[in-house]
Amino acid sequence: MDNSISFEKLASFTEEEREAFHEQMKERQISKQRMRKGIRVVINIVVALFVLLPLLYAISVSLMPSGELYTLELNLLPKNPTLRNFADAIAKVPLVRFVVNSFLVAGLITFGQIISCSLAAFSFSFLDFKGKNALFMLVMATMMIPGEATIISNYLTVSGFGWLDSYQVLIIPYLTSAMGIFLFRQFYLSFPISLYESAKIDGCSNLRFIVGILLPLTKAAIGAMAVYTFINAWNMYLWPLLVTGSNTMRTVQIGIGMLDSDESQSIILMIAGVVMIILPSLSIFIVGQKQLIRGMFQGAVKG
Amino acid sequence: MSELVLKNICKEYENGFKAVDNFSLEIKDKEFLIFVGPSGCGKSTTLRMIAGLEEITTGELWIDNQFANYLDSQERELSMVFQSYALYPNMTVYDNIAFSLQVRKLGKQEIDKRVQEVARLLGLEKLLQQRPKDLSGGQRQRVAIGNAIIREPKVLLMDEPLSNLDAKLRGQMRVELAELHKRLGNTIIYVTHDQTEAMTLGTRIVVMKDGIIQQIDAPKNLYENPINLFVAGFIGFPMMNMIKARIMIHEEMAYSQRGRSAYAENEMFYVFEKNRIQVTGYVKEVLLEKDYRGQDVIIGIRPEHISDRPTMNATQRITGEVIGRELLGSEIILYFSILDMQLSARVEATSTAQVGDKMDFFLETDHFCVFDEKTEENLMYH
Repeated sequence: MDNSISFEKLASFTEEEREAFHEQMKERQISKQRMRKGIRVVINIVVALFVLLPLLYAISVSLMPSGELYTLELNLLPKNPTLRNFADAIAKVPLVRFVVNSFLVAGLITFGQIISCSLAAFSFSFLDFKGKNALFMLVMATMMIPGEATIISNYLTVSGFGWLDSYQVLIIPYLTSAMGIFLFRQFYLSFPISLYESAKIDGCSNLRFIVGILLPLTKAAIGAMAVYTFINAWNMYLWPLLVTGSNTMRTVQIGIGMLDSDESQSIILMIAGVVMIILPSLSIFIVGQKQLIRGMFQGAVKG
Repeated sequence: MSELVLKNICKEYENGFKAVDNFSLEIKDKEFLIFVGPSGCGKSTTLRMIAGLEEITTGELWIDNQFANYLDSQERELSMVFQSYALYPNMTVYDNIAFSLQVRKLGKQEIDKRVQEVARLLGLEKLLQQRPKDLSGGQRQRVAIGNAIIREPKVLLMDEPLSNLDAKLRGQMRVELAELHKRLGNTIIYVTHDQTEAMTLGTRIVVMKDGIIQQIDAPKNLYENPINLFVAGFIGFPMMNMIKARIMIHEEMAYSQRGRSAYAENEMFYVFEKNRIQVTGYVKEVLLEKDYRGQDVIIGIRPEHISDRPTMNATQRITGEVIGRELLGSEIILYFSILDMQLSARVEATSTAQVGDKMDFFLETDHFCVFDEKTEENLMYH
């Protein structure tokens, strides 16, 4: 039926005809919407599959008995799924210990960065002091230097302290970050300054303002910062490789590397390890993604 | 007791811009003082200097005989209501009001007693457990005032507190503020760009322009006796009518063609093009004394002193064309043009004048202000 209908014709309808006409139009609208939605879902699924393919294949491989992978056939899915690979990986290297180490290190780094970056950003956005902008530029400039460029001198410094192969050497050099300071500062710049002034007139100290008002109101920023920092710290590779020597101090990323030894190279074991250590950072991302995305964009647009 | 003395206060920014220039003022106890002026005139800056949020470049600030230039905000024992209310969104109304006392570590019972008192005063009893986002604009405004008055500050500072409210609520809050001032008896310094607020609330008004005080006076005096063209134009709505004219005096009797006397001896007139308005009485004396014969002046007439019919006081006639008509209910504002000038008259609602009509208007010459064309000073200021 044609969509257009003259006003006179509609007026000449009886009550039943009119109702039927309304019903028909409504159904057409619904089916149109359903169609559009269906197309969108299909496109999304295809893209998601494409993006997730390596991860899904890794999970699939980690469940294969070792015989299945090395064949000439294309085995996308395991025929006889097994959990043996995980047990083997754990038996070969102390993965659990590594995971604990990584959690400890990443957690403390996250905590430390939130404290130090929020305090620094507070002074860069709320306080007025000489050389504020120059100092801020200096902090920003450190972002331009790749970590690898300073890693040798950092190594010499910490080994001079006798800190090698310890928790503090993994944590302390990463307790602050220019990126974090920048992120928090952008947040605080959009924070209404009159709240700070009002608190000041009320007789509130800076520290109390931060703890009592600023931090509770910038939870989104803290969430974003926490997720971002945690994942970064979890994925650290070069620095832990350089400064840790014993199994008791190693983090997971190094641990995975240890699965790949010259005598017994087993891709299946390595992939099983990778799948195990991806899980924590993946779950943190899933839990925190709303915060992360909201946080990343909240500073950008007012409102 | 709370008295403020500001002596020659200046605010100069690093780029050399002078936001406030040589501001001197004594504020007495229990005054409701208004800073008014167009945006960028330095009124908020002055308030923020009093609050301690901006440094004073030069000059002295005394609060209750205490030199206050270098005191921290909290040491000055003032409180402030911000335009944006500045409520803490993460706290309940109760905590917002109590915050300044909690910071000062008062006892819980004492705080509770005073919060309840303030809440009763402002009609917030039922809202104490709500958060600011659940409140309407007027309620938020009340909470902000509650936060400011709870610690009984020496001086209450208000920075355009009503400008975020809609017109009706603003009128209502204006009445409430006046009432509150009467009940609390605080000294209040209030910044606004709205001359209606200034006129209705203030016991004294400071009119500022470009960082300089123009006039400090009671509302009535400010309206009737403005010191210069700026103040005359800023205070009052619709704006005071300004007419450029020349003062002419006829030293000899003049006769019209028919032989009747057109002018008597020594009669004085404001002349603009073919219009002549006679000057008499006190105004004439002043103009003679200051010797303004033959000079250009600007005459200022309030719209209510222009009438659409002759009366006892409104005797001088001018003719103009009506170009606008605004019905305000009880009265009508008629906008009319004469030469290239636009004037307005406040007439009774019974007027039948329509846009496009040519009609006569009658001026009450006793109420004229006369400004020097160059200095823009009111020659009638007394």
